[in-house]
Amino acid sequence: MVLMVLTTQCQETSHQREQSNTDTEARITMLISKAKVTDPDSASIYLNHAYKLTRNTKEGPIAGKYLWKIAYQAFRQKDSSLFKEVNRESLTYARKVKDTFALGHSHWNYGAWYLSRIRYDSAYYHYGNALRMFENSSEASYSGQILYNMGIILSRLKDYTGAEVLAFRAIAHLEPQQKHKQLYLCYNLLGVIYEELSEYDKAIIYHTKALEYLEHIKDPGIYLLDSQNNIGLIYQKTGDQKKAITYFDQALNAPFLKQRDVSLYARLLDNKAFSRLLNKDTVGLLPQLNRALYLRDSISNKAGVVVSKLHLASYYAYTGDTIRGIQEADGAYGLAQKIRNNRDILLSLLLLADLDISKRPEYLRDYISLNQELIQRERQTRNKFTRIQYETNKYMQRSRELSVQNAQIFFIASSLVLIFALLYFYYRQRARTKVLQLESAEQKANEKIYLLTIKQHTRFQEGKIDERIRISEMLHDSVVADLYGIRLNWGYLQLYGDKNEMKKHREYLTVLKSIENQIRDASHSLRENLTSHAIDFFRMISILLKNRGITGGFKTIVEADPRIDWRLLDDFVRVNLYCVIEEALQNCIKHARAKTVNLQFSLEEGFLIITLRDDGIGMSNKRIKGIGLKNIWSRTRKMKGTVSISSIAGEGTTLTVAIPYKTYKL
Amino acid sequence: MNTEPYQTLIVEDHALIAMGLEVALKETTRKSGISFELQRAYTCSQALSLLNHSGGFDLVFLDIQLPPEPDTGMLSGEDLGLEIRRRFPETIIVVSTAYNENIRIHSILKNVNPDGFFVKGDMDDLNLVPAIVSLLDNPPYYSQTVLRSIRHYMSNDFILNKYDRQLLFGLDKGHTMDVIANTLSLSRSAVVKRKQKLKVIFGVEHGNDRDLTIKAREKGFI
Repeated sequence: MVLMVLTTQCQETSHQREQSNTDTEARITMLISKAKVTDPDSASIYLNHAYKLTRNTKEGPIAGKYLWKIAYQAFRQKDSSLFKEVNRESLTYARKVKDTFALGHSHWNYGAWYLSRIRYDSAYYHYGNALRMFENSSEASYSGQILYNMGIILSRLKDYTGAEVLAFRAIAHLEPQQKHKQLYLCYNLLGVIYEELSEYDKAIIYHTKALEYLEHIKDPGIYLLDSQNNIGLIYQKTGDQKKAITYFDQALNAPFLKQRDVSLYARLLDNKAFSRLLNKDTVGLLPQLNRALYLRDSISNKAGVVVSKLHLASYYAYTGDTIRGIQEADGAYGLAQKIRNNRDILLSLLLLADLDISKRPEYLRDYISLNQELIQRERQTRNKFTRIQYETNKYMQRSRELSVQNAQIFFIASSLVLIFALLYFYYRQRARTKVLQLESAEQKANEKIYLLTIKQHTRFQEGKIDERIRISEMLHDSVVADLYGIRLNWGYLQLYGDKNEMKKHREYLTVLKSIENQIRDASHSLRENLTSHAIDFFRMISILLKNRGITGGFKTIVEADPRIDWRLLDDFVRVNLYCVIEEALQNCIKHARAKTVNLQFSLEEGFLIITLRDDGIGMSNKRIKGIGLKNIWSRTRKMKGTVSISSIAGEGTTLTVAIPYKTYKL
Repeated sequence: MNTEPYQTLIVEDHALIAMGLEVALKETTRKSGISFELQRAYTCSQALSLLNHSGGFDLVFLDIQLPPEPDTGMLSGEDLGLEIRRRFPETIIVVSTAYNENIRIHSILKNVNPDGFFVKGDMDDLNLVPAIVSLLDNPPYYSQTVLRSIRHYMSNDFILNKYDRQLLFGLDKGHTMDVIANTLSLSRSAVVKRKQKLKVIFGVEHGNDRDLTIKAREKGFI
């Protein structure tokens, strides 16, 4: 939850800044794309400007997004100082904010930079880091391109098996993405590798495959010619000069080759000539070789010049012109030393040893010592590489283990949290159910008590009525009847006395008769108004009110509209109404501090209105929503009625309950 | 003067009242020469067996307030009066009752149609003898309260028949509708309808059975 909130906040703030950022971003993007297509000097200006803009924004996202792009363009445009500065900053920044994408690109930049500087160990190290960063990225082609570059490095170091492995890994990454150009490069690399491993058949197969990929590229350009040259060279090496020459010719026949790439043109020319030499076809060969040399010299392609000179030396050696041969070979040797091309140094030393018999031992000695030195150096570098690779592998393994461990920890932790949450909810639910059960049980018990009270009350009332009837009947049937009988008999007694006595006797009989009638009336009135217990609901409420008044120390007044026929309320309504009033009175006792409580029953448009008014201290809105009133609400709802409460602080509270009052059709 | 004495039956559970009546009849004989041959019954069943043996009476003094006998279907003197009327139409029936309720009086008048109707509160030693003479000479004789009641109820013609009274009696004893229907040989629904009609008559249309019986008791039907 907390995490979610944090991210949303971040989103919000970044959203606000987006507007101003889009302008800056657009400008930076524009500057970078301009730098991409212009000459190095203007590019430097553009990139410096873009770099300044990026720094000025001080915005994390922008720095992460653009610094490595600027650095890459600086590298492409060979602005070393700018590249170094920008890429260093990009790397530092990416490391700080753990932006793997930017980190990967920064390392990639360094790799390319060191590769161009022929510092293979550093290049390999950075490529290795970049590869790790892109390992989990969705951009599989990035990994493929990096692996290819690493393969290039290994092949340069003559670790052909290692290079082979990397090339295949690169292909595995690139194949699903259909990156034709990169795939071409990989297969080309494989061809070169197998060539170096002297597995010429395989080399030709891979080169051919590389050519297949080229067919998918709209403008294969010099790639095609390069490949043809390479294939030609392989055939040259295998001794199939005719085939070699066909390939060289194919390449040479490409339109505008000379204008597009003089160096390649010269190389092809030279290679073709050398093949012809190897095929012992020397007619008009010398001008060809010389032309290649001339072209290479004119563009200061020193490596090319060395090769040309070596081929010339071979030509002279073949034609028997030893002096010229030595001259050319010696020139190649010197130049090769100058450009430190060891392969060509060795080749020229071999040629010189062949041509200059007098100095042969010297040359051979030099050859052997240099060769040994080279082998030694290669071994050292390879060892170094093995170490780098080993460490990288170890690191990767560890990170894999760690990620597995992390996943396990995450899984265990989340399942624990889940279990606790479930347990928590389970117990809470159970507690809630229990409370509900208790509540409903309590309610049921209350209703039972009420019904029992009603029943008891009814029985008591019935007993009372029965007793009244019994007394009434006794008065009527025996007392009055006996009095009547006595009076009748008394009247017929043959009494004798003076007139006054007799008159009194008559008067007493009359009095007796009137007493008889009085008793009869009394007996009648004893039976009258013996209506059922229905009316007793009102009595019960009155008793309740009186008792609560005694408990709470307040005076009670109860009034009822005489039109109310209490018998119309069924037991359900009675129970609930009784409880509502009881609850409300409980509130009065507990909180109101009232002096008088007035309970009123009235009829209004088909509703029975119950109004309970107290003159207490009133209550706050909070208390109106309190638990005590919840029962009143729920019970009233059950009776399909409504509740309203109004309260004025210091003046008391009025609770009004309205429930439907059904009248029967008569 | 008629020398034949009136074969007379006094049905009265109160000995004192019966005694008073006997004295009054003797007084009548002394004053007017009408002679009576008296027999007495304290209960309905006693009266019924006397009726069966004697083959009828000329004159019956009937108290309405007799102990009820559900076995014979005699719930009060009223039922006995009906029985006598049915079997011996010539018999002169004198009803005496302590009730002065209009409904009750009306019901007795309609059902039994007695030749003499005494409300006990109206009667004393002075008017009893002339009343007996009058009802024998020139029936009927109604006492003061009865006359007042007749005037009062002239327009009102509701009536409780025997079924109604038995129904009320059964209700009062707490019998179920089925039992009552059984004893009355009526269908259950007929009994229920009759009961509802009674509730309307007694003004307790919303009340329960107890309300009805209390009201009926109040009016003296039970």
